Amino acid sequence: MLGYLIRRLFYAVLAVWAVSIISFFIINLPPGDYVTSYIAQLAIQGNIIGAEEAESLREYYGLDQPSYVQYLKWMNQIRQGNLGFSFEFGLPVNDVIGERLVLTMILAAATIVFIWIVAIPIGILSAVRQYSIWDHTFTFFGFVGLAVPDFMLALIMMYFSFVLFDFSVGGLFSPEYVTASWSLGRGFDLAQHMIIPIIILGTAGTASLIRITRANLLDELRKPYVATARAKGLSEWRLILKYPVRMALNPAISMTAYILPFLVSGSIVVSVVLGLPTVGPILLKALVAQDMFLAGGIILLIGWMTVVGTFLSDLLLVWADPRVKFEGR
Amino acid sequence: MESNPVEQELAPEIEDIVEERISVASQRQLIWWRFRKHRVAVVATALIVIFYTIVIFADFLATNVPADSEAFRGLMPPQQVHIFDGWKPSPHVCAVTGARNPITYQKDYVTDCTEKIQVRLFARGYDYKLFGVIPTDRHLIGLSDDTLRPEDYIYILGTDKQGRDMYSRLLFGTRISLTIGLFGVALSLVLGIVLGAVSGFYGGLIDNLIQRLVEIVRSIPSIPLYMGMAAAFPHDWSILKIYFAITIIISLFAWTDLGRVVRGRFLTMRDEDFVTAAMLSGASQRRIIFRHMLPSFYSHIIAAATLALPLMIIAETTLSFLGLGLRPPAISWGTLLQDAQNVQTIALTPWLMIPAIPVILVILALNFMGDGLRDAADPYSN
Amino acid sequence: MFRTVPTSRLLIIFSLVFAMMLVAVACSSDNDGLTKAELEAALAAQKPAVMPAAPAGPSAAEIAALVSGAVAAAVEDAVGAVPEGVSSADIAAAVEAAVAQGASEGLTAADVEALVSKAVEDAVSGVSGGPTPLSAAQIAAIVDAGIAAIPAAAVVEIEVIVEPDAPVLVGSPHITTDPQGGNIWPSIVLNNVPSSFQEAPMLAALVASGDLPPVEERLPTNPLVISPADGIGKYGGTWFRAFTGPADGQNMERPLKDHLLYFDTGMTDVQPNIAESWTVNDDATVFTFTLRTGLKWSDGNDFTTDDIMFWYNQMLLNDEINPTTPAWAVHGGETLLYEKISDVTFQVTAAKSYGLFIPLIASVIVAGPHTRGDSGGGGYAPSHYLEQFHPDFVGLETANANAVAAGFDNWSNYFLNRNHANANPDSPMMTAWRVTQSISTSEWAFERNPYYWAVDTDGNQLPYMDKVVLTLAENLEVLNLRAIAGDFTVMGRHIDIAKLPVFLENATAADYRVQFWKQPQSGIANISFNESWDGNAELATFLQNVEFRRALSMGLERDQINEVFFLGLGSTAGLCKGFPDPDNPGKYYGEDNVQFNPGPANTALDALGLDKKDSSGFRLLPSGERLVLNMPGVVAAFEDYVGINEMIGEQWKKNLGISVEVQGLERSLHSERAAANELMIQNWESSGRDSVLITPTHLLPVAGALFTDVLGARWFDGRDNAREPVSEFIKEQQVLYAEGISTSDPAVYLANAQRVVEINCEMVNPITTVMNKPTYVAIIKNNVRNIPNSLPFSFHAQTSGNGFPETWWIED
Repeated sequence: MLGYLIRRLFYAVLAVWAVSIISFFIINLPPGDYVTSYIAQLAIQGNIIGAEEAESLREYYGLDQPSYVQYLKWMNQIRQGNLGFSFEFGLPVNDVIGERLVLTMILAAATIVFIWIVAIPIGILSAVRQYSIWDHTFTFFGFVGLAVPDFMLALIMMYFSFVLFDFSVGGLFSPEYVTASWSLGRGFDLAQHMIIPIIILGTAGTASLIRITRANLLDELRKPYVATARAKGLSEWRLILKYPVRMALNPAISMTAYILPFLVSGSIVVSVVLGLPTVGPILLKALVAQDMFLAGGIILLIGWMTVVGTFLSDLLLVWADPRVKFEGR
Repeated sequence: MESNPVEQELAPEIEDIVEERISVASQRQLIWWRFRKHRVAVVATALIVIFYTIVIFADFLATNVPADSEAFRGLMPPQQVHIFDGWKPSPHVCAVTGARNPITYQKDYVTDCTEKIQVRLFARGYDYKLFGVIPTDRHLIGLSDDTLRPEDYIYILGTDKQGRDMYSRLLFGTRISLTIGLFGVALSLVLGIVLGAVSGFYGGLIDNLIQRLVEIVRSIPSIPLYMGMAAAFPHDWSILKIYFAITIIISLFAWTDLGRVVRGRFLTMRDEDFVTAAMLSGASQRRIIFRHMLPSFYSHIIAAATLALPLMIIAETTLSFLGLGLRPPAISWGTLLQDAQNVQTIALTPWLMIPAIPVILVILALNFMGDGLRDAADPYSN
Repeated sequence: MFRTVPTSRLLIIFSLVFAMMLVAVACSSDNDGLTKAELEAALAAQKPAVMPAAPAGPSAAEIAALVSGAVAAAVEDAVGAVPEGVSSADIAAAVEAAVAQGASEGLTAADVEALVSKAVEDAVSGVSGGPTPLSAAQIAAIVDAGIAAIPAAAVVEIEVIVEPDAPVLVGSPHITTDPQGGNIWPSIVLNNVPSSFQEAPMLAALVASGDLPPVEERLPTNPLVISPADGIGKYGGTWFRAFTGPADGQNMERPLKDHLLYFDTGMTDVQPNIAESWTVNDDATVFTFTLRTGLKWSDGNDFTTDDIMFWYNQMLLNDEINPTTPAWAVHGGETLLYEKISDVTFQVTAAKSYGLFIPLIASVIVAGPHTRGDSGGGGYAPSHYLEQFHPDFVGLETANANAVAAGFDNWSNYFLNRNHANANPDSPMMTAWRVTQSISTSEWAFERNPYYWAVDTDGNQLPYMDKVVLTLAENLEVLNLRAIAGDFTVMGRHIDIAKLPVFLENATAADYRVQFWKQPQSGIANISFNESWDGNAELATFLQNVEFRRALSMGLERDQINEVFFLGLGSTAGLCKGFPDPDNPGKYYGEDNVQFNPGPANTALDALGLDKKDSSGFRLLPSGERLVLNMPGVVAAFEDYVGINEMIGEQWKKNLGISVEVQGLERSLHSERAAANELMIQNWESSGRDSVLITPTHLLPVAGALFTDVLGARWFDGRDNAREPVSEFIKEQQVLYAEGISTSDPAVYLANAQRVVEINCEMVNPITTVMNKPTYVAIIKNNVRNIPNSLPFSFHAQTSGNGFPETWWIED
């Protein structure tokens, strides 16, 4: 057990390092750099900057150095807990990301809880009442949810929530709570605003978890021990909930690890459409503006969180099902 | 599971092939019988076939040149095709006229059914080359030549803001979106099979390395990754180049699922009798992998590929939506949906969102078809 | 014998001979012939008026028959007695000219072509046996005969040129129009300071509690007095807006003005602002400014010329704050010299006449620290606050150590961040509202500046509104949906013109009105041809050819572009509407160049040697290679340039047989490639004509401009990798520019500015498409008062600042 943990931890650290290199690689891919996009931005406003000024700007931002030097400098800063400097915000990246990252994580966590709460009961129902009208209905809606592009759904839901229910449009807070400090009221306001994003983000995950739960439970229900339990006269629902459901939940747990990066990705698109103050919109902007340390910092943190999430869900799985640890060998 | 592999191996080459063909054929037949029972999957498959027919015959099916615009016919609602005129079969569309309303600034169109514009099958339209070679100007439907006046037009699904025919654009968008997915899946299949097979067959250090790679790739959220890479394309690339580059990027990160499936299969199969037998009889590793092991779960691979295709399509539409994928003037489902991503479309011209329908249909169909295939893949399972 | 000549060559001959004939007619002193003007007058008299569509009119074929019949008869008459001087080809050319003349008023391209060829054929067949000379008078008679044969009813519909200054059809009750009797604009009142001053209730409370000195002590002795557009307002309320992130600083830099001098609402006259007066010596080399006495920063500290000298010595001249001196601060090869004369007076000396300096001070180019402080510009800075970050005052080590402690690399980085008022609420300001929450957060907020130095005519200290609150909108659709919902008090920036119908539909429910804020004589989508593009030597000679550009211009259907992208709200008249063309009586510069006229356009292209086409119907260069124009469009810009380019490409393909490649380029890549001289054609906006010398880079190749002649601009700026302009008109523009920015004579300045634009129109570079669309579609709550109606828009005067937002107020 301990050996397994240590190995998993080692791999996680390895992944963290690899993610940092990949992040840096990604942000360095686009041609040009922040100075080119900054100059372009100025040109839009009618200010033309010459080549000489551009060079001095590059020097100023340290963009004239070879990329491995930039990477090492960046890593060194990160060692000290500083993700670098955002050119566009003129602020340390930590300050820019701050609350946005928390909100992103709250959104992802809330979506996972939503998926569990919705998908597992439906999955169980669908399995126990296989081929019933419920089974078919849920399967159909699950598939449709899987098929509708997130961004489309987001805009349509936003528009109609505004037209029909006069919801305040976009964002995660009502105007009065945007800059307020955390309080019960603010939390409640946040919860209210998260309903639409969670539904949009959760549809795809819910659909697949329903299907996984259903399939696994069906497998379990065919096993002899169920027949035995039934023969012993256990009531039907207790019988189902006691063993087969527990076994069928394993995939739900392991799926959580895989769904995390998926949710974060999805939340980027949904956040862009709904204007949510998560890391999504600023990541998109930073990539376009080539604000490299901001973009890199966000990709890095998201990558790391995914690695940690995977690691935690692995641990959870080992705890829930001791058979799993042998699989890693 | 298979016809006896030891026998196969002992037989001479020619017989080997004949034998194998028979055995494969029979397995296919078994799969088909089983698949056929899955009604929804059969319907879904038919739908997919229809969509790929559109891919091939987009030009023939189109009614207008997708790039042709006419500002003063912009944002026109879909024209209904009437098959009957009273009781007489006489396919036609009604004349539509209109202009921008100077008070609301909306485009107001009036349908005048007293003026009928005749529609026929195999009508003459713009020139194109069928399959890229046969020059012709026949289209499945179009305006009837005999009664055609220069001011007549047909826009089955309405027009976009530039007055371009949504129906024809949708057909051409289907062509790009469905092929990009196909190329992507093909590429990730190759990657997934090779890496998965190597990983599962050899195990040990190689397996460990590849699995770590899979983990890392999977731990990077795909959208930022796509975004970063898509932003990296030289933007002066031609549409074709970007098209392929996007495919490659998507598939570079889509192979992991398939890789895991293949690896799992190989792990369990490595110890099966027929593999051991093949090894003992001195078959090369390559031969064992590609000749014996892989064919035994082709159907699983097909199922996995079918299920991977929707992800590709969603990835393309999402990237295009974010402005990082295909760009106008390229036409794809993604670029069409990007045009529809605004408040005025939802409020005033909802027909611009029609491209969402084929996206949903194809993704649904592919999922059902993949499900059906997966269930049918193992004819002996029950 | 003419029948054996290929049509294309025939057309070339026709056009050449036509040109010769015009010359001949114009030079003819013979009373027998008509002068050019007379001919035109005659033609004009003959021309039927443009009338609304008359469906019963004769078809084009009938007209052609009528014209050619009449012409043939006339030719036969003429040939009966054959005078010396003119060949039979002239007849054809004359017919062509006549028909073109008549047709440009109303016939379609196809009609014109049909008319020309038919008439020509008939004319030629009537004159067998080689060139038969005719007199100018005979030709005129023939032409007249032809023209007279065109029935009035036929000249109708289709290509009716859009009347450039026609008022927009404003039918919606929600769109507020210019009131009858002219614009109501706010104005500043000189030499009439109110006798007593009042303040906002929120400040009165602070004064009462002793936290703030009384209003008389906070105002300068001579505050700026503004007479509001409609009348005196009431204090209170919050101005709600939205912004898109830290790069959207212009969002509030525009309405807030801390410039030393500033423009009037009409954006042409420079007026006092922070400086109460200024003088310029005769040769425009010495400028003396006098500040208001008793000005205070938003933190209550005194604002004096020390703040100007601090900016000059410690910022402008500091290599780390300003690695290169901004272009406006260098003239005649030397950096401007700033000198303090007293606490309220300072003097600026230029090495050479610099008449443009005063407009520049008032414009966005110099502006004030709110706009330019974060890059070390602005013309002055809060010295009492910034000294603590500057090595000249605290020593280099301390300055750097403080910077590092705050998370910055070095002192200059930190210094600029501290002087970035939008991001640093601690930075003292001179604007009507001061920042209370940074632009880097999700709510950017402002509160009234208790020391703001302007009052209304009743002595009420401005601004009227207490606060400005901008919420972050990560996405423009969300921002626009909020506007539709009526969340904003006044908002023009980021409002999407394509959503106008939705705005109007919701105007009653959400209680707002809509105003169009237009920029006079501004281009929205100008197609600039880079004269120094060298990607293909053969093609480059065409890009440099005015006839080629003119032909392309005449192949554009501008009303289509206007309709699709600007809801028909723009005009298609070109940059020079309002500049009468002395060579073309009754017309303005370049008027003919901006009209859809594919017949002559194709003729001209043929004449240029582009007469061969490939199997796909595309024109070939003389070398046999296909002529391909590359038109990259910037993606995600304020306008859909890729879409517009796509449409232009389709029109050129259809009307002229010219192949166009369109692709979307990221903004940064686009400007990078433009700077590398790699773009042959660009599509971009241009600002108004009167400000062309202040913000010249869109229309003339100077000051690092990247449009009409990239290398030529570098040559003018004295940079490396440069090349003298090939075209004379470019050089002429550069000379006019140099003279215009130096002169101290406003008349010369305006004359040069106008001439520069005239040259753009004459030389069809850039080709203009749509002009004067509403730059801002402003959404204004119905209870907001004092907004000029309508507010003219400009970049150089930073609209909406020229609407004096400090005088806007909200009625309960």
